Amino acid sequence: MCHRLAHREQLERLAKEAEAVRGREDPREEILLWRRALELLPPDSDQSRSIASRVGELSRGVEEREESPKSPWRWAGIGAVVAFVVTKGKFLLAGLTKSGTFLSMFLSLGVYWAAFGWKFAAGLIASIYVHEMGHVAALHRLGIRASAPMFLPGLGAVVRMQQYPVDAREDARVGLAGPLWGLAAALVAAAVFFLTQAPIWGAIARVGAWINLFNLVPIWQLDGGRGFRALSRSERFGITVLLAALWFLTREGLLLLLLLIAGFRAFAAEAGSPGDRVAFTQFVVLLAALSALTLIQVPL
Amino acid sequence: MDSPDPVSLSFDKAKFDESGPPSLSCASCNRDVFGTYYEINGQTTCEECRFRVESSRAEGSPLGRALRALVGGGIGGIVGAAIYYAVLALTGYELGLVAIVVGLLVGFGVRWGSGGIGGRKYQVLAVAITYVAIVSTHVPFIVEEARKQIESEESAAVEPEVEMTAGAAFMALGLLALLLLATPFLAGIQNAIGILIIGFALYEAWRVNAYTPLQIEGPFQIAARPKAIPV
Repeated sequence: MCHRLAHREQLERLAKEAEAVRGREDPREEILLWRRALELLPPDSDQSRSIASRVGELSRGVEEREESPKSPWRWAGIGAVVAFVVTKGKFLLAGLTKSGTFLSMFLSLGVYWAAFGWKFAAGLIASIYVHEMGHVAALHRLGIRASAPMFLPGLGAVVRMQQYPVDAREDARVGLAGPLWGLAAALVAAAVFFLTQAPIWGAIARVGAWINLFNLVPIWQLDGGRGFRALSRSERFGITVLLAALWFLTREGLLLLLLLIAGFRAFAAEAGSPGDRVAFTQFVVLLAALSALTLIQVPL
Repeated sequence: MDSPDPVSLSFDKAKFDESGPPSLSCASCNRDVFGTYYEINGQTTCEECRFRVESSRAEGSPLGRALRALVGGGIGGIVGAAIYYAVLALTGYELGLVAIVVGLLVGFGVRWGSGGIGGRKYQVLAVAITYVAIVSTHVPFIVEEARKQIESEESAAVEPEVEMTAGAAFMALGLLALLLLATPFLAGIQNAIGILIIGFALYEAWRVNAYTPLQIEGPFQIAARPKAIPV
């Protein structure tokens, strides 16, 4: 085998373009170019490894620049949630301009409407949409190409990645972004419920929180599975202990399911993994806040 | 090990570390392929597995394969129903993703039994087993409700015992089974999501058992990898 690369010219052009944009304050353009190059290379080649390493370095830079001083408290408080909705509102609206998203959303709305009435159906669809746009935002931030959200009535919605994260850290950021945005949507609904006492908002907050909690089941391609992959064994045990405590406090059956699977995956973890402090913190915040929201009592 | 700056890379040829390029492995047995190999429906397959795949399609009678598919699908259905019921009992919700798992378990069970042939009759079998597996998870809830009903009736009044014949008991069981099969549709449009969820499971079971003709390409040759020399 001669191992000649079929896309040599294209790869050289992409490398030149990447070199030209290197050093810019926003490294996303360079990330996009290197990710395109990755698609054209055999995954186990030295060139692919070098480029993946560069992409990982650049995307860590994006993360540090955007999140550093405020990250631990970013999700705390209703004020932060309102600020979140205001700042991300434009992005959320932009997502609706995709015809596939819009049409499938209306189809889903019709199905949920028939089952639960229009108010709850609209709230449920909005919760799912915000969750999916969380993934889209993370993918956009990391320069990973993906489809627009598509709703599947009865299943939820999906965003299909057209490129892959280069490491477990990126995968965790993409995976946990959905539940983080979903948590913000559930907190908004809960705030409206506590202010107005209108049961529909309580129901939307509770179900929204439950759906996001279900997505944290650490298995397969679920959001929790993506987040869990980046965690070290000790971090996984930490999550397992937290789940046991949350289940004891809330008696929410879903937490027992999460506990069983997280416990299994903690034992099955490879020893020596460095772990991921950010993913661990996000997991803890999500589990605690979403579990608390499932305690909302909706007056009938 | 630090990776070199990608800007300085050469893209003339793919380069690999000392272990060389990744070896081909058989999609069926996962072992590395040396010498002769084939591609079956686009999947790399070693010589041994090529003959195994071919002979599995020819071996046994159609009835034997159908029975094996019934057993394979049945086991998949029992495991799937147990998972579906466990999640339903723990969370109180029927979930589309779990239904898909049931459909896949049954689908692959039937496919294994059919020797990987697939086809319309195996698709119908897989769909039927999947449907029964999912509706069977309602049995514990129906039994529980019936038990409560009987207890409340017993506490309200003592009725004279009616003797039931074997035929009547059989008939009652048959009616109950029919009722069970109809449960997803009894609530009409109110259960649109429940019906959709079952639909996902049935689709997966159907899809997995689609007829796939064997397209064998090859033989191809791969150079034997030189043995590592200890130094």
